[in-house]
Amino acid sequence: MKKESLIAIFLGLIFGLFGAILIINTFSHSDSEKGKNLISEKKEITLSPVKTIDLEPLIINNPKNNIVVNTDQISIEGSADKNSLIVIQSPAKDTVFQNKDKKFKVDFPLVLGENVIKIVVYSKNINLKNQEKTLFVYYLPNEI
Amino acid sequence: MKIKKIFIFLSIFVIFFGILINFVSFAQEKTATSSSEKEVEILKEKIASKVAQLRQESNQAFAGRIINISEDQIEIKNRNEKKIFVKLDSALTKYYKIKNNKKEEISFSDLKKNDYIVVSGVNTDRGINANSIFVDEKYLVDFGRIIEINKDNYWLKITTVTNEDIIVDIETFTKQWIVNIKDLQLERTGFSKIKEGDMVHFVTKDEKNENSHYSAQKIVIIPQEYFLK
Repeated sequence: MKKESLIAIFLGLIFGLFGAILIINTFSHSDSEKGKNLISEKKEITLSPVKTIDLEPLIINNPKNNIVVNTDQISIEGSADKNSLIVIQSPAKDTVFQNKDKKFKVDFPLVLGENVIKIVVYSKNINLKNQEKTLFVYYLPNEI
Repeated sequence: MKIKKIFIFLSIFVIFFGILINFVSFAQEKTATSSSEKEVEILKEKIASKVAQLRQESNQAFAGRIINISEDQIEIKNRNEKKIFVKLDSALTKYYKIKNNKKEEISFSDLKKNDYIVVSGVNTDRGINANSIFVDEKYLVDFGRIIEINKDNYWLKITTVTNEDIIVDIETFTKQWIVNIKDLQLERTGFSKIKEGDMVHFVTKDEKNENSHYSAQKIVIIPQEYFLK
């Protein structure tokens, strides 16, 4: 074999090897880019905290249930959800009002004997259940 | 002469001094008396308020329907179906009937089975020692959603929060109110303005009428539109 032929084969091998490395590098680079793109296309799922609804419970501070009083009027004091609709009903009176603040205070008349007083709270959020309390107040003058 | 003047001067001095001493001691005595009187008054007031407080704490009221009567004892059943024994004292226990927000004295013999009574007295282990017994009306105060309206016979079928269906007759004497959803004022209303789906708060006597319905004393309607605002 001639000396020129050997040099040509050698150079061909060198260039072939170089070309192969170049092509492999290019493909592997494009693959990693593709992968990168795929990852970035994935939308990040973030879990937002569950919204808790702070419902103020209906609390009656005054009067105590089953109390005996000797006056024909009592003050109903308590707290409930802000802006809720409160209905207070008894055989003596009906009262409906919006609870603008958390606390409420209502003067309420009594009849002689047993007074069944139902207090119902309708929350501003219609998905929430109504709250209710029933008070038994005994107006018995000269008994205490 | 000089001695006489000195004697007069000394006599006047002694007299005035005596009067002054008397006055001062009298004033001191009076001050002491009035301050001790005040203390006694304060003590009396404290005792009276304490006695009132103790009486209020010990004196309780219990209500229920009479299920048994004997000479010295009544058995009642309260709203929670619990039986309570009421001890009577022929010398002490007084009996009244409440009608139109007034009480009139009655006697033990006027009590009968199924009467609804309010007993005022002291709770003991053996039952209630009754001071006074009042024959009263038992009322039902409740609320719920209107699920059916009968326009021929004027009744409302209501589902209460305890999922109980109650039929309430709207009588000629029934006071009918509706909540104005704009200003939340109560306004007079009529049967024709009530709709299925409205909320209703009602007061009835706790006994059924000839139709086996409750007769409404009064109703308060909350229109369903209020909840859609």
